[in-house]
Amino acid sequence: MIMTIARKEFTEMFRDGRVRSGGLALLLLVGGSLLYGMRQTQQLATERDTARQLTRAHWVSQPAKNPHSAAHYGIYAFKPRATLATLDDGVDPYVGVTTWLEAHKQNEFQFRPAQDATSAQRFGTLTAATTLQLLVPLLIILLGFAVFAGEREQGTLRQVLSLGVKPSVLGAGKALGVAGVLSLVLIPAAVLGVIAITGMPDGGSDLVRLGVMIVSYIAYFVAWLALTLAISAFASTARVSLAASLGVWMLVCILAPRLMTDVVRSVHPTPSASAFAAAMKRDLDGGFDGHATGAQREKLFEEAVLKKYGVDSLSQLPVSFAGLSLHEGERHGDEVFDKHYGALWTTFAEQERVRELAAVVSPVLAMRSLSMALAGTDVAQHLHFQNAAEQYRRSLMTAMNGEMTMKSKGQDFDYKADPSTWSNVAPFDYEAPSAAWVLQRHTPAMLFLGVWAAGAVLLAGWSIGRMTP
Amino acid sequence: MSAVSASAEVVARAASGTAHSPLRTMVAHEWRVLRADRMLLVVALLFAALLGVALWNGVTWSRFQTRVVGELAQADSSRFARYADTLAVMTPGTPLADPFAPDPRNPMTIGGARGGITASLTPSQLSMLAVGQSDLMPYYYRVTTGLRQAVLKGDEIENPGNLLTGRFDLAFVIVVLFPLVILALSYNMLSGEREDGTLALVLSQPVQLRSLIFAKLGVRAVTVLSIAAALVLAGLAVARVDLTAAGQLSTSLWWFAIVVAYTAFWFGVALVVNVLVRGSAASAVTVVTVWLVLVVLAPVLVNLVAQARYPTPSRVAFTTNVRTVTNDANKVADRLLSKYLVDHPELATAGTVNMDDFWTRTFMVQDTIEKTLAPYYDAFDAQLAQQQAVVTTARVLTPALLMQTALEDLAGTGLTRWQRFRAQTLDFHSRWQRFFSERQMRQQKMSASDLPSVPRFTYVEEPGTAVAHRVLSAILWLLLPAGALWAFGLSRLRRYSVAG
Repeated sequence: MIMTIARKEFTEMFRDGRVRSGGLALLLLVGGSLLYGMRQTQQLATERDTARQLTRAHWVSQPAKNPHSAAHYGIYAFKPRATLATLDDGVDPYVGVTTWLEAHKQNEFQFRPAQDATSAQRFGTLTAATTLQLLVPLLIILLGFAVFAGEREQGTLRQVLSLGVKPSVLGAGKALGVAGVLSLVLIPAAVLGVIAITGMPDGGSDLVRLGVMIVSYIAYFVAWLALTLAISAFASTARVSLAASLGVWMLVCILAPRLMTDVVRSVHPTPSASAFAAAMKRDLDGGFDGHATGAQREKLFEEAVLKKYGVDSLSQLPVSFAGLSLHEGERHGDEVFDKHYGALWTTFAEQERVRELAAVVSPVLAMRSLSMALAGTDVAQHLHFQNAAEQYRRSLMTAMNGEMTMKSKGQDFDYKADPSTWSNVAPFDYEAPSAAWVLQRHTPAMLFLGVWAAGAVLLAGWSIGRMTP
Repeated sequence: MSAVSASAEVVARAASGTAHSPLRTMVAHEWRVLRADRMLLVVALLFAALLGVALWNGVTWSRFQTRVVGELAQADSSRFARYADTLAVMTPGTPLADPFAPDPRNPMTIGGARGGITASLTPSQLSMLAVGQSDLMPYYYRVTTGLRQAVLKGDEIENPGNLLTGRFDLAFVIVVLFPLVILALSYNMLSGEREDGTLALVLSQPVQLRSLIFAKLGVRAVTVLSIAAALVLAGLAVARVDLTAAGQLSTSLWWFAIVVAYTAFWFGVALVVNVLVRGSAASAVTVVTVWLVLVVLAPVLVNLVAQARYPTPSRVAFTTNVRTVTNDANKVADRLLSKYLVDHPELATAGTVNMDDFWTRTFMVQDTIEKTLAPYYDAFDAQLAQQQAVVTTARVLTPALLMQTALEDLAGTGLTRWQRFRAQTLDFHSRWQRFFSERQMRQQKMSASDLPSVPRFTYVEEPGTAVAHRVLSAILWLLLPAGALWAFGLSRLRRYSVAG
């Protein structure tokens, strides 16, 4: 019986020209965005690989020079492009692509791609993810709004129910019919996506992420389908059903995300860049208590070093005081950076958490956050990379200052390290977090999505069960 | 049913001959019907609330930026006051022992990385009308004698997640939501009455379908525009914008003019859909599809085409290139002087340029780097200009993009004003560099009397007529399709079948 109903719905919808052209347009959009995404990913990956090799070559080919001078020369870190960014480029256009890892400073990332674009950029980018998140729900609404309300208007609902068909069976059949039409678009889209990802070098390593992503999108579509059917069962006419479903779509997909930007900004405000820099400078110059000047702190440090090595003057030290002092400077700097960037990044994380919690009112927020996270293009994974780059900078500085301390003497900056010193430093090899790392951090989003899907199915069951013919 | 009763009233009045003019009666009744309909109340309240929130967000952001710019200017002026105090008690004759000493007699103390000055773009008075690109683009730069690349960095702190979504500003409400309000109120003006059976009844009276549709459209247009106008005026009052100040009034009037043009366009869409599509549900699907294509998809596709067709040169490759160029320039630093002097003959005659001076070498190297990188910068700007040309060409297809750009332009938060600011900053950067490098290379010390001649940055606004010119062109590009839609809709109205 369920299959009969499903087949009837499927045939009826499939014959509708609007459905066919809508579905086709959607498929074209997904296909087009996948192709563009693949091209982007390959291009960016090549470009960044080349740059990574070049910056390493620059570093290694330094002549004999003072290690601290090499530390100032530094290395550039380039953000790798995640393979799954092909499907969802997330915040990638809005974060810098490179940073300079140099002595004394934790630099900001530079060159946000969105800054090098026309104002059309802010309308969003076409990715498979935006198509799935915004447009597929619309197709679902188009397919499902009249399922009950339309039949009610025409009087056929009364006839069908008078035949003794249980509402639950009717509901299941209709849902299957809609899902059948939908799968004509989504299955080819999913196959295209999987081929696109696995076909790329390195693509095989992301299969767990891809799998979870597919399951999440299915849950998301189930939520929309059930919600549409529930509204259709409630609504007196097809027109009311359509208006209500579209209204929900507008509120949830268009309005809620924007409103949340300003909500999260006011709940967890970030400092201005100038205030942030000033506070950091204060701590860097004056120590955490803000009283000791650099000279005073250096004096104290000098005394401590002399005491430690049991000598009376710097010239008697068996190691380079300049190296020790630089190392001490880095240590202090690291504490200051950890304090300030730590606080800032916590604020970002809290903003993202509030945005994710708002999934209570908008499933698209949960889906968006999960999709970006699985694609490796969310804020958290950008900060993960930024942090890895900073840790590498610190290890580089420790190596350079250690070289200086052990091989040089006193206050001397004339020491020149052998060029082999540079190649002894391991290159910066970034390892993106595992799928488990991502999933652990996005339990709420998965939970909300599950609750939305389950809740919508229950609501649909309830409203179909008590619908008036 | 309210529509029935109101239409019945039209019939009754028309029959008894007490009506003033049919159009006036229809307007009066349409207004009554709309008022009785909960739909208008809900939509109007929601629209008003969203406008209010958006204006508040705009005002908050504008104040934030104004405060930051003020603080930076304050910091600069107190630093210059300190230089003045120090220079006043210093004897100019004594030589500088250390070229790196933070001594204001040393030109590089004031001009270099430890000194410098802020070039900032103060938000315009009406910046509350659109956050635009101002959350993404830097609104101040720290200008020093360093490389152009070093000057042009420094973004405001913002969670990239927020940049991705964008702010909830007035431009978003007008560009994206306002059409929805219009379409929600007017997608079934004719199909609704026909489905209720009242259309034939009304038209059986000496009333033309054309007048009826004008009455319906007129009431709706006046309602939505009044809400927008009232709230925006209230917003301007709350933000204490002085409309009598130069340019503010005309900017506000241009704002209203383009909003009216945009309204005309979307009512044109509604008219055509009303005339062509029979059922209310089908009309709803059609208007949403049109909205989706024009507001959501078209700008995205235009951007995609522009970027795919004219990709900007890679910033990643640029970063490593800068390093290669710098390395090369450093290797030949000694040989750079003669080349440099060809471009700066005034220094050659002074005969005081000393290649052992650290800064002199730095300037030589920088000069070479900038010259080598110039083609890259030009290529970059050229590609961006091409992208912009694609967007401009596609404007008739993308009323949303047209509107967004114009609203940003009026608020002073768009790319045009920002690009102007960046260009002026670069210009100022060269003046600043020249001022300090020449002094440094001549080993000329700074004295208290030199301070007033240090270059200062003031952003020179584009003449208001230029903005007005662009907005006028946007209005025309909106009115063109709007006129076509109206003409088509009205001509097809004659063939509209009332029965059935």
